[in-house]
Amino acid sequence: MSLIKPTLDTPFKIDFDWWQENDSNWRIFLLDFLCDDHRETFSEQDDTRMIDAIDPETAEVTQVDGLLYELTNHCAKQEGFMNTNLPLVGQIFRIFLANGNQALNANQLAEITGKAAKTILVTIGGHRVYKGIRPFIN
Amino acid sequence: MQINHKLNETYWANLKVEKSDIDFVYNFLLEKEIPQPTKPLIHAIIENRISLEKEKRLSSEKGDVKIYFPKDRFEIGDVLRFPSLDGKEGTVTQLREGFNPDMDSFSVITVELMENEMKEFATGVADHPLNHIFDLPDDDPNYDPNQIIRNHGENLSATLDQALSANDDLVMIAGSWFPRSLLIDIHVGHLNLAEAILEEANGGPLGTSELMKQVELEANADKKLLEFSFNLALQEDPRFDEVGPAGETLWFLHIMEPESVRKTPIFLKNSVEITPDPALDEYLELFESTIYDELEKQEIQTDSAEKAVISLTYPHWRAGTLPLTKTLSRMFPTAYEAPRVKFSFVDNGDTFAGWVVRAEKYVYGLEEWYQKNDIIPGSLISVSKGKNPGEIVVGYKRSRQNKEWLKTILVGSDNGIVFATLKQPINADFNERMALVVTDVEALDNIWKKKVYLSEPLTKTVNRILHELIKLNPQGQVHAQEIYASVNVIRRCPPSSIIKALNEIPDVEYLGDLYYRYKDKGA
Repeated sequence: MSLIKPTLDTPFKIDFDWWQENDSNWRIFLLDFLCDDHRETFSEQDDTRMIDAIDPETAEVTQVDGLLYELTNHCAKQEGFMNTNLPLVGQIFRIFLANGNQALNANQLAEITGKAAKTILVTIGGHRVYKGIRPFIN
Repeated sequence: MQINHKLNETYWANLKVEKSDIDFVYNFLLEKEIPQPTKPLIHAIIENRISLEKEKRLSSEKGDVKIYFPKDRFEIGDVLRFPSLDGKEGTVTQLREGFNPDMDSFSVITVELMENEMKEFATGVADHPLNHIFDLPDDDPNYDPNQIIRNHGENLSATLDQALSANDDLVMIAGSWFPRSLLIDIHVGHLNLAEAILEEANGGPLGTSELMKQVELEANADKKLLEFSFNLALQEDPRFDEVGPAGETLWFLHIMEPESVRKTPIFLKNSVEITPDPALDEYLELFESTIYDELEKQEIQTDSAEKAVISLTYPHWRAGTLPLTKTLSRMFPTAYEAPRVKFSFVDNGDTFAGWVVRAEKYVYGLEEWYQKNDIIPGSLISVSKGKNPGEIVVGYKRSRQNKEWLKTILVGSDNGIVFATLKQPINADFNERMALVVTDVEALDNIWKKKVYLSEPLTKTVNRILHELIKLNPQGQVHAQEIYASVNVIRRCPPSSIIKALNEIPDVEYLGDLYYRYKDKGA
């Protein structure tokens, strides 16, 4: 395993594989982020069911995790999802859910959150992984 | 998904006329049975191209291959073409129900594309942008013939005219086209009669209908077709000249046209080779807005001219003409193809004949008017469109003074030119840098006829003139416009050639603002 020292330009995103490996209750954790309607839907059915996601340009179908799909494509886009009163890690986690888990570096996250980029880098770039937010290396 | 429609802005802007378009025009004219101007032909070509494009789209759905639209349902074994994948084709191998809580029921097909690539696609999805990629937008101006003509009409007309001209079997008269093979034969006797009638009418001009009536031309055919055929016969006979402005066909007897219309006056013939030089643009921009020179490749004025004031140069004064620059040509009557167009000058109710000589870029007909009004080279002449089509109002502003100190040209027995500042009677307002009084027109005519200064390089002529002009100026500097006006007294050349020559004379230095002087030899 190779370690990298992240910089202000290193991109981060949520590593859902990390969640699966490190927290068996991760799906329950994510249910809390769903909007009311979807929380009800997923509480009534198997929350591991795959969904046929249709590409808005080509109509190509890809099977995706239903919970993650709804969370990032619907619930995270609802008004009030982003909350500036949350702790920094909580805010960053929601930012990634809302942008479809597109990688962002500390500078970009600083612009969105209004927090210092160095503070963000120290928080999510250390040895300890918070909420699966990890450097994303292509 | 954005699919680029083939018929977009670039398509119409760069339209090339194909053989299929020519064939279409030919058949269109056969069907119409009467000559058609370029514009309706363009309209028909545009409609035809749009219609062909639509047909092409529909035809792509025919046959065994189906176009994949998410709204449709397909069966296993169907062969599909995917517009979103650059037209790739594939075969449906599996079919299953789709699952997405946010959507109504739909199906998912597995498609085997080329090289065993498998992909899944949604079917039975009514609301997907891909369903509309081939729709022709109602408000797309690129599918509206009228809008296309508004946006690209001028360019398309020129392109079509050029393409049709290359086709020997299509002929154009006064802006209308028709197949030559379908024209009515006009007997030479009718043309001889037309010649006699025009001669009686002092050369003309007479309209085609009037001529047809007088020569009693009749045939068992459409009147427009007969008129078109007669027009073509007249056009192809060198005795006749079509002199009408665009939209009006008027005939004149070529031999009875003024000599200066049939033949370019010697004073207007260019004496230098002109090659556009972008480095001279900054100089030309400093020339006054009243300078119009038909030889100048780079337009000094580019504003649309409803009215223009022109600083008259010696060549145009002597020839009784005005320059026809691109800007001025928008004001004067133009024609589809006639090289000479007859119109009327109007001055305080007086009307007299004017001629636009398109190819040589001048307007003739002011010789007497210049003399009558004591116009001199450098006078400011105003021209504007008249109230009636084909009329140009010509005038000048009367000078406040009766006499002025003006540069006067004196010609030596050796044909040398000398300038002297003398008090001269004056009538019209004038450009101070360009006003010149000619005391011996005959002596100057002699210089032009014998081409005295044409055998020497322009730099030498410019240097001669500069040398003489500098004597009149205590500061020893001369403005380029003065040099331009004065050089043109003995040979014809545009402002850019004067600037180029001045910049090439080693002893001359540029002071800025178009002022030149001889370098100080002590420096």
